[in-house]
Amino acid sequence: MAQSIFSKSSGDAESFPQDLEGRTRFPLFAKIIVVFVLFGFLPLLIATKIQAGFLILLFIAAISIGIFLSVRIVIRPLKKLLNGVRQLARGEYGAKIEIKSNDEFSIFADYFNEISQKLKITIEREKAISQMKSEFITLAAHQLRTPLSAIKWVMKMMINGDVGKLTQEQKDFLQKGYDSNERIIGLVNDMLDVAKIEEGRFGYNFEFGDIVAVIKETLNEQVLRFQEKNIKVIFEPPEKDFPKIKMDSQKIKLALKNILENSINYTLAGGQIQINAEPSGRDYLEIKIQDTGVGIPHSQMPRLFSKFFRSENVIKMQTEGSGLGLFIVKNIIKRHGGEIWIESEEGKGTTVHFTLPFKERLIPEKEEALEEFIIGF
Amino acid sequence: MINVLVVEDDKFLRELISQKLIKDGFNVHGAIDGEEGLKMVKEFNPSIILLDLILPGMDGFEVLSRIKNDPSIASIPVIVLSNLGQKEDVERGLKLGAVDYLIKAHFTPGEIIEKVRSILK
Repeated sequence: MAQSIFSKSSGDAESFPQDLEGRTRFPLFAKIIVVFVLFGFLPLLIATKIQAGFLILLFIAAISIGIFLSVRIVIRPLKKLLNGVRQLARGEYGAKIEIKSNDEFSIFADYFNEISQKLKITIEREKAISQMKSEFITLAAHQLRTPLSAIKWVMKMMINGDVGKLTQEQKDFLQKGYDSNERIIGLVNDMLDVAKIEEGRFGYNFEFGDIVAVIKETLNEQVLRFQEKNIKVIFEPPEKDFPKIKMDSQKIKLALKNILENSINYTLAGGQIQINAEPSGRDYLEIKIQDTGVGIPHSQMPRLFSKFFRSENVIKMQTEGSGLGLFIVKNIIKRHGGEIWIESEEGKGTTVHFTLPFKERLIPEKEEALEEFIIGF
Repeated sequence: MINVLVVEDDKFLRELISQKLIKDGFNVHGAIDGEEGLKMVKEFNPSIILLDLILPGMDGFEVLSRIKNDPSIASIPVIVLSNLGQKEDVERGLKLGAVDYLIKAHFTPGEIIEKVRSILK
């Protein structure tokens, strides 16, 4: 796909009119000469034959003609060019400049119109592709979710004994199937999120909220999983309350959940996860999630935030994970005007740090479509 | 007995949720598309409606807006039960007057019935 788009546009480039300059019948240079002649020599020539009183009038007339001509020849087309470029800069692709002066300005305008038109076609094509991709993913997700719901409901009803009594062994067995199904549902959700992020349409609702409450809620939702793996969780809320932070609480919760899930998945039973929240300088709040897990090999660190990345050492652990979690986290934090970074030592543990600004003005004004993260490839 | 109307085009899902509802003591009517759903709302005057969004013919959004624009049935709570889960869909559903919006893949039948009970309280 990418190949064909590329070759098409390079084909267009070859057909680009190279000889536009040849059409200049009245180059600027010639026009300037004419103005100079009118402005300088002509009055002088006439002045020698006419009374002195008339001379002033003639001078005024000559200056007026000079100004009029330079406006017509230079300033007006320049303004038209400027206007066109401004339109293009504002995103009005396909904007046209009409100059019929048959000089360098009209050539400039012709070239500009070519570029503008090409840009319009390219951008429309890109939009169409992105729209198609989005529609495809939405449709696929919906199509996937329907049978996944059916599997979920059937297994749950069987486990609950709604369709007859089961032995504990049968229930445990079904529970494994249920859990696997939950993982696919999670993956579908992640895929939908990623598709939205890449389009710049993840959709954020910024409101002032209490970050400590958000952390507590997220931790509470994971309590069962902490217990299952016998992981000790430490979160000591700061003694002094933070000011309310402008954020999308649901998205921050999703980010925290993704980070915590990594910590839970890659921390062996009996380990520990510690969460801290404290101010970093005057403008930012820093949240730190530190685990005693398996860590990330040094060589793999640069690729941490790229899509579908999964560290080699954890692939061997056969734990769940789509490789989309941190990609989503990074985008959420960036959208909030924060930073995220990770420290890790293999075999000892991983610490995820992220910041969120206290001040509203540090939050980007709008969500932008983000290019894929391909760092490290 | 409490009347519940389930508007769901997928036969298997409709049967599953109906079965669970019946087992929990509800009286269930099932409709396979929007038109039938609207007809049954008027016919059975259910206490609550579970409404799918992607339906053949008239979609769930249209059904919802017709219910909410008809004073004789507008007061019946409608829970959207769909697998459309994007922000725009959820917002549109709630704006049209749905009392809750549940994504099928995120709720078990038991949890859905809990929601039904909590809304009817």
